[in-house]
Amino acid sequence: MDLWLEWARGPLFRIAIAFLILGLVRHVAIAVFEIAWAVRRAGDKNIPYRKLARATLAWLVPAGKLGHRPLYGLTTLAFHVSIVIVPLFLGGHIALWARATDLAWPAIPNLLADVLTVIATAAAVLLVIERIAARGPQMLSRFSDYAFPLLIAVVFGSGFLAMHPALSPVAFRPALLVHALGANLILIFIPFSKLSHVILMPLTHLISEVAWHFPPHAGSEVGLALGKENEPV
Amino acid sequence: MSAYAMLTDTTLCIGCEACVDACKKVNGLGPDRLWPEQKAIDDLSATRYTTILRRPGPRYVRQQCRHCVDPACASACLVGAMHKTPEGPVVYDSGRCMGCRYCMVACPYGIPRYDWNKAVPYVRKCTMCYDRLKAGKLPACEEACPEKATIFGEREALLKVARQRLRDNPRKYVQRIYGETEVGGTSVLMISDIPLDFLAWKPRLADQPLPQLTWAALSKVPPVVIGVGGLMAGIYWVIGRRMKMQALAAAAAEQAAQAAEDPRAGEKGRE
Amino acid sequence: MNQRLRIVKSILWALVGVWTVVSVGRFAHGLGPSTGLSNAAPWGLWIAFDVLGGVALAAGGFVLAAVVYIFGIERYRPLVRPAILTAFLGYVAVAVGLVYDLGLPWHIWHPMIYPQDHSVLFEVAMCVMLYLTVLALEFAPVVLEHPLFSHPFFRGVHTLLKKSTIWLVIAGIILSTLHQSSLGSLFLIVPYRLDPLWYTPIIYILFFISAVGLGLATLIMESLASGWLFGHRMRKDLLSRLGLAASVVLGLYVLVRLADLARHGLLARAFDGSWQANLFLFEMGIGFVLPCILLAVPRLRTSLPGLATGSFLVIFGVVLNRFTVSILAFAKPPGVTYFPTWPELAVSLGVVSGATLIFIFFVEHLKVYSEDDHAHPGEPGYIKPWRPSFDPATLHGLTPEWLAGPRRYSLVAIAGASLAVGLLPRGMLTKPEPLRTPVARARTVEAMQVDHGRGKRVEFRLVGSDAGAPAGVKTVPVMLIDGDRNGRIVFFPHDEIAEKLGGDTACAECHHLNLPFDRNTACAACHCDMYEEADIFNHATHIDHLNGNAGCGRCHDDPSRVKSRATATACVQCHADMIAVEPFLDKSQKETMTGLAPGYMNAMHDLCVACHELKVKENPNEYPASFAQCDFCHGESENIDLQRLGPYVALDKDGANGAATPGRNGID
Repeated sequence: MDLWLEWARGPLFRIAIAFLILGLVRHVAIAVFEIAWAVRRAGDKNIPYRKLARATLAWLVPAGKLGHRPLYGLTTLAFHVSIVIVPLFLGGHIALWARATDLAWPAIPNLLADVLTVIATAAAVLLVIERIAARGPQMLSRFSDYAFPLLIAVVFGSGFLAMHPALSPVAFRPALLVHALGANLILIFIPFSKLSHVILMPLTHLISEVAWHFPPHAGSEVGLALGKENEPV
Repeated sequence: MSAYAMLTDTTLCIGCEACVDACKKVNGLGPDRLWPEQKAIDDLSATRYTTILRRPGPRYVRQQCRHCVDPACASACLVGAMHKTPEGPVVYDSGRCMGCRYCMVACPYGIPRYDWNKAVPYVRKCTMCYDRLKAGKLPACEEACPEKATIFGEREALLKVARQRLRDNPRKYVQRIYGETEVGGTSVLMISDIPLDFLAWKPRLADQPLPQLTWAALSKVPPVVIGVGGLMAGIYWVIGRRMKMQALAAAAAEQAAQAAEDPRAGEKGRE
Repeated sequence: MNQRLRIVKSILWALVGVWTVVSVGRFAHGLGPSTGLSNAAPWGLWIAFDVLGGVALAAGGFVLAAVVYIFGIERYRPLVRPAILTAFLGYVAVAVGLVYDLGLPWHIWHPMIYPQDHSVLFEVAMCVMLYLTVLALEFAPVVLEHPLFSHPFFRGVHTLLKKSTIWLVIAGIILSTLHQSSLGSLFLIVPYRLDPLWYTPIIYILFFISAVGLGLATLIMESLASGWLFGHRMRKDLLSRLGLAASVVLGLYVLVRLADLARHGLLARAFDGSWQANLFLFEMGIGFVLPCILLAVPRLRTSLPGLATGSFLVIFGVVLNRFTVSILAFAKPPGVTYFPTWPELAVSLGVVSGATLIFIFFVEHLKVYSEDDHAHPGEPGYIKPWRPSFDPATLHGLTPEWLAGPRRYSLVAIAGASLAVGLLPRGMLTKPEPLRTPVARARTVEAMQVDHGRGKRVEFRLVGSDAGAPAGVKTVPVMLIDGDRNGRIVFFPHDEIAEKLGGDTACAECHHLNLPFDRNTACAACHCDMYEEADIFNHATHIDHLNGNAGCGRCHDDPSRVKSRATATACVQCHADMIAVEPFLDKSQKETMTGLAPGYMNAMHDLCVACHELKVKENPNEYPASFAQCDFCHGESENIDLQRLGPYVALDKDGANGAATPGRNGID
């Protein structure tokens, strides 16, 4: 058990974090090329920075959505805030980083972490329920759309149990092992799945903004390029 | 001025390691640690330029750079980072070294050590306290030795001392001054009551300095450059010329054949 | 693009990914953690394969240039361009491999400003540098043909280079002759380390001949491989002629080598059954004689499998020869071996993969194979078809086709890189740590005690197990302290010293910490490493003994703090009885005990030497200065006949008598 734990926290975590970082860098790099390509082809070379910032911000702070679909908006906001803050600023995690790299940064109080963890777990479960309940999303959903929130719920739940062994029905080390393995799984999946929206969200907006700015006569130019300029479109 | 040297008489050594301590202090080497690159913690290492080898008996044999008179390491080094000073010590210039470790390969006594666990590594070995010599001081180990097992002086004088000791105690000593002639002689001489062959890679080292072996090949470089260059240019010229001649001949033959076939064509060509 | 090429490129990119990560570890923490090199084996895989092997493998360039340009044998012209490109990339790979092997690679240019012309390596370095330049100039026209360089300036350079080809070729042949042979001369300076079956004063001639043979074989292999990869028409007629040439060269090599051995009277040694002799026979048989025969038989030489086998064996044989000369037959002290670590292998493979990818890139974008006549991007009249491609990772994204390659290969590269991050050895990730030296417990034996009087050290002589002590001689139990079992023993008359310190009440003077249920824990139980600090806190045991989850709060008592070693309560809070009341050692340690025990040697010295020095200071009449000197304890230890300690030594080998070594599984 201890060996498994050491493995999950050591080599496996290194693989996961490296894959996460390199994978996200890869997404950004490819997106940059895509944007360059899109800009080169676009008729309107202006990049609407203000509009982009607004769109991204609107996604980050779903104030509008709060009014539109209050329950969903609230759940998703709480969920996202929690799952960003707790893994990065939990004291125990920072202690692990410090042990491995001598890097450390301020931690949030354990009590706040506990509250956020409970919120994240509950919100993840709630999101799945909402997805099942609402007809539109249900039709569009794939397996992964249910699996990821549940995986996140498992990771946060087991993390909470590891933090509070006195309250836990399972032993400390199994709880910690589930927590570590699940977390590594998520890290590895981020660049591979819809979870890549952590980095791609603003870039997607940028690409779609730029790529669809074709000049008015774009259609006839396509014909020109294809050598079919005289044929009717 | 004759070059300086050191003479170690292993029969006088009590294995106290005062020389090791003094060496560490003078060179600022710090404590030893057991790295995978060495067999024992008291092997020669980047933090230990000299050590005491224990042989059955007990006998204590000091191991350090032998400061060869014609050092293989200095001849191997492609940037002259290792070099023999006129005073006797073989010293190392870390500013020139590129870290190829050919000196470690070349040393017949296997002395130079490397900073294997540093991102900026240097070759490490005894310098016979060259800086202290220049300042008019003695090597630290010689100064520290409580039994005067290691003494310092001019090489010729030390050879005399060694010969005298061998003569005075012919039954006690192995009748050989280690370092007098092998590989062209070394500036660290040793006399002992046990054979010290184990200090080198092979029991009997020849008297020929090792750099002579590579020089035998290296001195052939200029003739090879001229020979190969000349040969290639010559062949190119000969073959090129022959091909040109062949082409001309072929053309001429073709022309002749054509001319024979159609005499009028030949006349036309001449017009 | 064909499937085969795509798979090969994917594998190569994955290897490049691994290589990138290994590079970071190599340059961050030095050669020690990343390689298997040691003081006795200072040259390893990177010299044997990347440098010695790489230079020889790239010999095809100058051989073929000589054949076509000097000897005017025009039928080989189609092979010239790939041969020059292979040679150029081969030498680039050599230079890159060398950067990894050099301790101070940023001084790689020093031979130019600090020449030392008596060094063979200096000659090699200069030749390789110049030859790399020559090869670059020889290949440059191929690059300048690309429409990208249609500017008149580049056209002018192109013409100039074309005109000077013959001079470049001659310079290349001179330089190659020099350094291919000089790589052998490197080993002239080690007559005492290199086995006589390989050491010969004409080793440079052998290196040169074998390099020519290897160069020819590499040309064949490379043509076969690129034919397979790109689906080119293979010039079998040309290749089998090259095979014949290689066979002749190998035959010459075998003759020269055997004649040289015979001249030195070493032929008999090659058959004496020692491992060196067997290695020699293997190398000569499989690597030289067999391919020489294979390539000499016309029927085999003209078939693809025959050609492939023959040229592969040549490559194997010559590279093995370089390994043998620089590693296998190179003397090391007994017990020292060299075996490359996986990061070393990853660098070698990565460098080769990178060079191969560049080769493929050049073949795809330049006219390397003259019959390769499909249209190139950038050429007039070439319109690239546009097709959407999807990201293999996320399965979305509508991108230009030219991004399809980067998308695929970047994915395999980062997969390789991430795996490497996970598998890197400890020392390459964090600061390198020295080896551990487990400590064996001291053992008690009966010994005769010889007292030489006040101030002199008390001598002990072991009693033979059969004979026993002579009648009338006093024997006492004495502990043999030799933590690392190197035979240098300190005699420690435990009972006598305990008596002197005050009998039964004095245990705590030295036994400052005792394990639970143990009255006088042996020193080696905690100080379980000879030189390094050891972690003696066992988290798993504590969890088990404190009833699992319920017990966490016993040590991690403040729920608002991070649970770590630093914030846990001190051991003494629970284990009051574990720590002796009045240890001779610094008593302040009691409150700050962290679970880290100093190394055995330091612990012994701190305790014994400190006490001895104190006694000398307090009571100089009874304890003269010699009482506090090294010699007093570390005396005549060499005199011990360890054979007589048979049972103890044997027990130690089984580990039954070894020290308790608490595992390092603290959770903090």
